[in-house]
Amino acid sequence: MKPQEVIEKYGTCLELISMDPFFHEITVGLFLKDSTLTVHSYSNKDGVKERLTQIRDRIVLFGGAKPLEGSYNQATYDCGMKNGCCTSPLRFLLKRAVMKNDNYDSESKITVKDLRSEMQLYLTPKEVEGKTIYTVSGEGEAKKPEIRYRAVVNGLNRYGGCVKVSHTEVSLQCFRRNDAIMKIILPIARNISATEDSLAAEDMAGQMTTQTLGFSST
Amino acid sequence: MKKKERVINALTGKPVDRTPVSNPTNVATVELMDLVDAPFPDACRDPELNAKLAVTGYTELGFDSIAPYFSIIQESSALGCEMQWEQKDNWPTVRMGNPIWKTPDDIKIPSGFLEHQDNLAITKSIEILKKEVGDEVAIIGKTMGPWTLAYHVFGVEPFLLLSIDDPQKTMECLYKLREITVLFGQAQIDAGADVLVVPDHATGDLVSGEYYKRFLLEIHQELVETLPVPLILHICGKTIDRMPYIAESGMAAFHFDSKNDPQEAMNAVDGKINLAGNINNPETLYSKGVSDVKQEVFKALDAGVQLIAPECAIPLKTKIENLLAIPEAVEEWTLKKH
Repeated sequence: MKPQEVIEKYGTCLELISMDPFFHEITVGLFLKDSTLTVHSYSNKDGVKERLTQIRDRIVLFGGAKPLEGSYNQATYDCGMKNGCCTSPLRFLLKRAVMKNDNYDSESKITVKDLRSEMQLYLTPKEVEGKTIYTVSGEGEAKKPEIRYRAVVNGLNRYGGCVKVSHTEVSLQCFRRNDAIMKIILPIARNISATEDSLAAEDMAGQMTTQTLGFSST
Repeated sequence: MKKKERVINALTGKPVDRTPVSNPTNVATVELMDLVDAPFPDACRDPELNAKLAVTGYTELGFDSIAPYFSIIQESSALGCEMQWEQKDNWPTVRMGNPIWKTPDDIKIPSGFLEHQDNLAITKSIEILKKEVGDEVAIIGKTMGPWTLAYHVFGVEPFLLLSIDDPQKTMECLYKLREITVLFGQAQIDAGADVLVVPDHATGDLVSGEYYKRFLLEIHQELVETLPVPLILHICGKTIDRMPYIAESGMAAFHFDSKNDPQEAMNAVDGKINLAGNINNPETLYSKGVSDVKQEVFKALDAGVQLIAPECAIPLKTKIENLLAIPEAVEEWTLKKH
């Protein structure tokens, strides 16, 4: 398919991974049209279709999405992804789906080691009037744990598009339970400045500027 | 009007049916590399792959020109500079920390310079493209100006220090390096290039506008006399302060950066040179969406910019929909105006 056709068929490109380390270094894009997510590559290499299915399936597993019936490369979310719901973390989800080949552990807790303290951070879901709210908590040593919880909540809002319920609670915009996507967001949300640095470095790759060319004083 | 005619007319001050969408610098992306199976760095070094990738600017994006020289390092590689070829998603660069020359006396064009793989990649590609597109689309070649070459062969810092300590020696360097600009430029013209871009990075970040006048203006005027196709000067960064001098260079156009407001740039050149540009890369084309891209195109068109183009080589991860939005915006603007 030509690019114009791809855009008409699959919609806006949300994120690109330049080089798939597990399949001929192809470029993989995640597109969104209405409520359909499509994993696409312009590559015509043998086996690309199977690889795209593999990536779609990893998005389903690691992102809590649903495969679209009859399609090899498409998925959606139950919420219909209205008003950008569930789209914020997709950048990180695609990266995880393409760049790693680990297994998903559905039984594991939503937890990660804090980078600013000795705490182990947790996100715990609870049902309140039919809505799922996730509470940030921690175990272990920290001088002011509440400050860390607030920072994590801010990170979850920023990178997960979550809604802040209180200083220690968030939910997805659709108020659904999706532990898988929370497992993707939590490690990113725990340290905003490090995540920003990492995103900025990623964005600089492939840019031709006076800085990257070395024709600059900075 | 054919695409090539549109570009040439715009560069030579003749009437056009609409403002051309040109690419004095690269518009290839990682997705386009996949589409034609011509990834970096191979597409920078192999003429067949180079041509396959370059033509997508026309066949897939609908631009009015094709630019097969994607980077800025081909001649420097042929001169013997230490290279970092990188991979598909990054630009090949010269390791300027290990310069190959120290003084003007060191400057020698190696025998077989034009036959070096990395120069042939461009000249042979232009031949292929010429056969493929004929006179339908403008083929824009590229030959590095002496200032850029000086950064590559002497290193940025040593060369800038030399320009302060010994302006005469600096001029000697520039005049000698100018021969490389002419040699490679003429080879591309012989291969079929309709236009040449001359990137000469006397950028606002590092040198003043007066530097341009003092060290480069005369050399650029001579390049215009020597190379018999329209020349487009490219300098990144904020360049408003040197635009009045650039306007005196005789170049057909100046390809300018988004750090310069298009209307301010048009005022600075005062009709003495055409402008090509200046759609922002790192923020607009890379990070924003189609409507933002179109707004920037409209702004440049409203200012009277004669050739619409991304400000510099686009980020390799640029989304194709944003590139397609450039010619779409030009069409929309033209329809609205007429």
